[in-house]
Amino acid sequence: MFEFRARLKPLLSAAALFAGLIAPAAAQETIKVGILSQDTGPFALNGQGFHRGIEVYQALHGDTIGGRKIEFVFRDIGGPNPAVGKRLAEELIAKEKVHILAGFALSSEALAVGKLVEETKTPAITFIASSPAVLAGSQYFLKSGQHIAQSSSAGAVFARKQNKERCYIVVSDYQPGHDAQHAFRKTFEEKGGKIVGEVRVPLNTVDFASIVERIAATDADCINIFVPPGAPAIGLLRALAERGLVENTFVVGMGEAEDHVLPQYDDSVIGFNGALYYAEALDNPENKAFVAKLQELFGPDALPEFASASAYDGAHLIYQMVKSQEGKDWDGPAAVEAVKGLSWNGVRGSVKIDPATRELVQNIYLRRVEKIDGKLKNVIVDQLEAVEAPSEEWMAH
Amino acid sequence: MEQLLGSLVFIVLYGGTYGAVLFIISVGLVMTMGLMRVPNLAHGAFAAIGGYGAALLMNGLGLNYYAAVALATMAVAALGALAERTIYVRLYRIPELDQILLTVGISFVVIGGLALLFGPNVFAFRLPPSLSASVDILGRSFPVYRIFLLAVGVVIIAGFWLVFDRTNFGAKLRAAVDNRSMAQATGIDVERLVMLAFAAGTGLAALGGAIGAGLFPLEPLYPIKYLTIILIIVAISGFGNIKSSIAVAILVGIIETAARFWLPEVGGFTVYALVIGAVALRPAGLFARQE
Repeated sequence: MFEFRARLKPLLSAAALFAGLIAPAAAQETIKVGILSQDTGPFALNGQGFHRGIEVYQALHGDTIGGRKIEFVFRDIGGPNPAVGKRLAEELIAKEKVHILAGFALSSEALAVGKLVEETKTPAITFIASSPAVLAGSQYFLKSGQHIAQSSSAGAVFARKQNKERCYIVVSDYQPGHDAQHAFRKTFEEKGGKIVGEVRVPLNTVDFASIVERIAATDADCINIFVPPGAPAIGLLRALAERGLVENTFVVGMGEAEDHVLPQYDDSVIGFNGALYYAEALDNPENKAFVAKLQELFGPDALPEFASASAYDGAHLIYQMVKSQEGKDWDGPAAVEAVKGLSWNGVRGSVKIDPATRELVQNIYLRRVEKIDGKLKNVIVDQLEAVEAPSEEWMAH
Repeated sequence: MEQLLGSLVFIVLYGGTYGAVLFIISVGLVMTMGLMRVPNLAHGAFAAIGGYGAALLMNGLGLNYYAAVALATMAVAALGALAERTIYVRLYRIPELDQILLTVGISFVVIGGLALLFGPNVFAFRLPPSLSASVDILGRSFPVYRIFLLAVGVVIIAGFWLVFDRTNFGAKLRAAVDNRSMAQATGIDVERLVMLAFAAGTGLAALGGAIGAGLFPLEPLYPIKYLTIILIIVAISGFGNIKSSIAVAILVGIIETAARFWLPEVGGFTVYALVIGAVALRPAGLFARQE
């Protein structure tokens, strides 16, 4: 391989020189963005959101900015596989010569490529990966998703605002679950509430009746949940509803029941609350344009959700980074530096990159599932403005 | 004391009904593995097809729940018979590893097909209102759905008992399970028997997939996701030991529920401890004659 490359090198440089003579700076015309996606496997919904968010953004804003054309190159990790993610990232940087990496549904993928991003000075934007450890992996990481504690802590604040005193926490037993549990517990207690019980359930749990039986035996008036959307969320909510807990207590989660997954639920989900940085029903011009274009491109049944919203706002961030380098040679680190402190109106509302932490300062919405005209829908019932991500210190203790 | 009693009532009710679904989904594999000696790792795929089929019949054709479940079960049984005649018939004389590779392969084909046709989401399956209700049992509200599962389990057990112990077909089947070549030598058409039994096995899987969808949501990964628990039931029961699979499924359901109730964080592992113990100490099956 090395030999091959060495032999090819003079040839390549000659070709580059030749190309350079005909069209000066032709190599700079296109900025390639490698998207590490999940197009197959259990997280394929996130990948679908990435594709849609980016396509909608390009449909609305064109494919050129700052004198350069933006080209997206997708790669499918195909499941929870950080090693494949790392290999694909290497391929994108070495072979496809991408200038920017983006995507990252799972924190484990982002953690696996942290070193590569740092060494190659490639700006990388995580659309979803929300573990606090990701940004620490490299100074060239930015995000268009959230810090998991932003939504979790907001859930606790909302619960206290509804005068809930005693909360029970149910999370899936994996790192994001532990982070969410910590943030909710800490905020709820800081605000004067009491945690009456907490439990981590294995990810493969099928029958949630036992867990719910334990909760029903307490006097909890609030239940915080964090489980992956899909089968676990459906199972847990159904079990909670069977015991009347969704109706009689304040059940607050995160992204378990967005509009697009509601058809999978039965009416047991009515009354469920989610605290999240995006809401389908947001009434701002950006979101309206986003939803309209989404449904124009993907059919009237296509619904927005947090993955496509994050990809859309992430695409905006990428465009701003490229714009910052207008008229200059492409410099990844400089582009990252240029957008620190950037604030804009995303589909999620007003959002700002905290220049010190690179975390986002954004609104968190309390959404409740209701049945409107015979259809299940999330409505926005409350919101917290400009929520900052907590410090590393806060998360650690 | 009263609280403990309440907990025990909960565990028996919920664990028993959970066990009933496990039984319905697994018993087909227990039977066919005993008869054919082929580890059919595509069993979960037939269950998934049954579930998706029933949901499609309900959503698409507007069929009533019970009719949709019955029709899907029969359709998958026919599919099973076809698969036995075309694919599985070639498996009997090849090494176990090849059998495993091929049947796992079928599962992956089904997973890909389901994802392609119906998307990666959980596939909506709505219970009829009559099953979504709750009734009061022993001073607590209990979902009708779980009673229904238990009832179906009892009907299947009764059906097995009738067919196995009371019919000529059952006697032949038992003979074929115990000693295939001897059965053949006495003039029993074992090939036909195997096809019918395989159809029944896959049909039962489909029935489990369809009526169990309230507990095991339908999704493309279904065929692999629930294979572990199905194989655990089969391993503890022993090949072809249907009577013991009833007890084993109920036992696993109750132990899992109890363990998850008292030790929610490690309770999920209890069933693995059980299967290790059972396989080590009673390899022919927990309640089987040991040889």
